[in-house]
Amino acid sequence: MLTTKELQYQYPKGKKIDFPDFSLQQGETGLLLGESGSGKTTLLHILSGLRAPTAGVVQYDNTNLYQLSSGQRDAFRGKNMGLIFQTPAFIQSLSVLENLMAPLYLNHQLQDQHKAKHLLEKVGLYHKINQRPFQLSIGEQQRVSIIRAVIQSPQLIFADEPTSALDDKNAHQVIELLLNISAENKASLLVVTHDHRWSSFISKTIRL
Amino acid sequence: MNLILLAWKNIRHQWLDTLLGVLLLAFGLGTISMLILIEKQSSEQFNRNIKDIDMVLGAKGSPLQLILANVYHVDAPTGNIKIRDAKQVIYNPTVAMAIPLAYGDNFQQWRIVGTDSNYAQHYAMKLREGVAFKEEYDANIGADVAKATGLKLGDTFLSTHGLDQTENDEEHAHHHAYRVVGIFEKSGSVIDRLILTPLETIWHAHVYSEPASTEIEESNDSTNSPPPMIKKGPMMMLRPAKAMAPSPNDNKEVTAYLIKSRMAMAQMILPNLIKETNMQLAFTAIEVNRLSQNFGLGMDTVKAVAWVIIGLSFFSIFISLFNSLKKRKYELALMRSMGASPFKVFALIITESLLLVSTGIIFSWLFSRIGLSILSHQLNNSFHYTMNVKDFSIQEVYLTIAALLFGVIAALAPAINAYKMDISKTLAHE
Repeated sequence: MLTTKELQYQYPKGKKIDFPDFSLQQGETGLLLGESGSGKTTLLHILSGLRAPTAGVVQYDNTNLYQLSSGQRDAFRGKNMGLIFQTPAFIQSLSVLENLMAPLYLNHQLQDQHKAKHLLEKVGLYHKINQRPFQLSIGEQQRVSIIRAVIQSPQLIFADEPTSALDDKNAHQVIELLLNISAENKASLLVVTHDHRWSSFISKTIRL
Repeated sequence: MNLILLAWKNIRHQWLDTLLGVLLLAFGLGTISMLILIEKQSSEQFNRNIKDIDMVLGAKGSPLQLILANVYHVDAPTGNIKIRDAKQVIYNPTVAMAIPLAYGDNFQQWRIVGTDSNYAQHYAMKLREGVAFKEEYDANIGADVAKATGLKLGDTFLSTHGLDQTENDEEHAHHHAYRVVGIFEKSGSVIDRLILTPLETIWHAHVYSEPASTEIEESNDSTNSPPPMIKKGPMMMLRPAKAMAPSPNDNKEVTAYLIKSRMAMAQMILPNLIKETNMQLAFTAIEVNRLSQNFGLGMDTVKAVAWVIIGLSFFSIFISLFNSLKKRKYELALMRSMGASPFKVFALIITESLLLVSTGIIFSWLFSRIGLSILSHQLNNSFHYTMNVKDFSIQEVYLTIAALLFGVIAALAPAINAYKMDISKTLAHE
C-alpha cells in the first residue's frame, strides 16, 4: 500500500535527515517513534504530500506521490488520506456537523450526513452536533477530528501526536477510537508519537 | 455547504472586524447613489419645466429669483410689472410666445396663479375631469394639489394672501370663494403643484377691484383683454398696431411673462427695450446654467468626500481580510490538508470580499433611498417638490459593478497570500 524509498529531507537552514525505508500494508497500523526534532512531523508531511522531500520516493500502490502535480497531489490527499493533528483544529465559523461535512465539500463528494451523525452518536457527541468546535473539550475535539479524518473512508490515516495533549482517560478513548475506526474502514494507520501509551496497542514501529 | 455559504459563515463569525468597512462602503456608495438620483431627477424636473421658455420678463431684482419664482415656483417673485410697460416686449416681432402670470395668493400653501389658457397648453396639460377655467374664480387644480388638499370638482375654497400663509390665517384671507371647475392629470410639470385661474381673478382679488362683470364685458373687446399670447406664424412678425394701442388693462399688473423668442436676435434686441424701466429679462439658459454650476459645485464636493469614504472602506476591507487571513492561516492550511486546492482557498477569500461589498451595496441602496426620502419630505414641505424614491439610474449599475471590481482588487493580495501559503510550515507552526 504505502512504501517509502531513500527519503531524504534537507531543511533550508539546517540539518539533513535520511529517513528509513518502510512500508505499510492495507489495514496495517504502525507507530512512528522518535525524539523531539528527529523529523517525525516532517516525515508525516512528506508522506501526506504536504512537503516535498529533497530526494526519495513515496509510493501508494501504483502512484508515485511526488510525480503528481501539486493540484493532483491535493486531490489525492483529499480522497485517500485522513489527517489528525496534535492540536485539534477546525473551521471555527462552522458547527461540528458542518466541520465533518467540510472534507466532502472540499473534495467534491456527496455531502451525506448519515455517516457523520452515526459516528458522532457512536462516540457520544451527537448532542453536540450543532455546537461550535470551541464549545467542546479538548478530548471531544480530538474525537471529532478523528471522525473528520475518516468521514470519506480514506485508505490511510495519519495521526500526528493525537494523544499528547490528553489525560489518560481521554488518551485511551482516542486510541481505542482510532484503532477501531481505522479497522472498520480497513484503513492503514500511521501514528507519529513519543507517547508511550500507544506502545501496548501497536506492535509495528518505525524509529527515527 | 458551498463556497458562498462557507464565505458567509466566515464573515458572520468575525462580523465585528468587517463591520466598519461595510458601513463605510454603504455610506460612501449610498451618498454617491443618492447624488446620482438627485442630479438625474432635478435635471429632469428643470428640463421639463423650462420647456421652450427662453426668457422671463418681470420686475427688476435677481434674475435667478425671477426664474425660480416664475418657472419653477420655488421662490418669491421679484415684484409686479405693468402690462403697459411689458407690451413693448411681448408684442415685439422677435417674440413667438408670451404667457402672463400673476400671483400672490395661496390655498393651504399651494400657489394660485392667474394666467390664460396658453399656460396649460404650453405644458400639454390634460384635464382629468371638468373643464378649463373661463370665469373669474374658476380654478383648475394640479394633480398634486388635488391629492394633497382633497379638493374635488365643484368644491369651493377661500384663498389666503401671500405665498406661504396657512388656511387658518384669517386676517389675510380673501372672502370670495374659488370654485374647482377642472382637475389636471399628473404631468410631472410645475402645474401639478399650482392652482390656475384667469388673470382677472387675481386682479379682482387685489388692488384692481373693478366689478367682474365689467371686465368680462370688456374682454369681449380684444383690445381690452389681458395681453394675449402671441401666436407663432409669419403674420405676427409685424408688431400688431391694434395690440399696442392703449387698453383698459394697461395699468394692471402681472408678476411675469414667460417668453419664447422667435429668433436668437431677441436676446440682443429685447433687453434694450426695457433699459429705462423697472423691468428685467432673465434668460433661462444662463440662469439655469449658473444655478447648475453652483449646485454642481456643492454636489461635486459631497461626491469627492463620498469617494474618499469609499476609498477608506476598501482599505478597511483589505485590512480586515488581511487580519482575518493571519487569524485563519491555520484554518486555511487545514482546508488545504483536507484536499482543498490552492484556487479554492483563493476563491474563498475573493468570495468573502465580494460578499462584504455586496452587503455594503445592499445597505448603500437602503441609505440612498432613506436619504432621498428625507430630502423629498423636506422639499415637499418647503416647495411642494418631491423626489421619486423608487427611481433608478443606470449609473447605479456602473457604480455597483465598479464596487464589486474594487472588492476583488482589495482581496487580491490576501487571496494570493492564501494561494501561495506553505501548508506544511503553517501546520507545523514553523
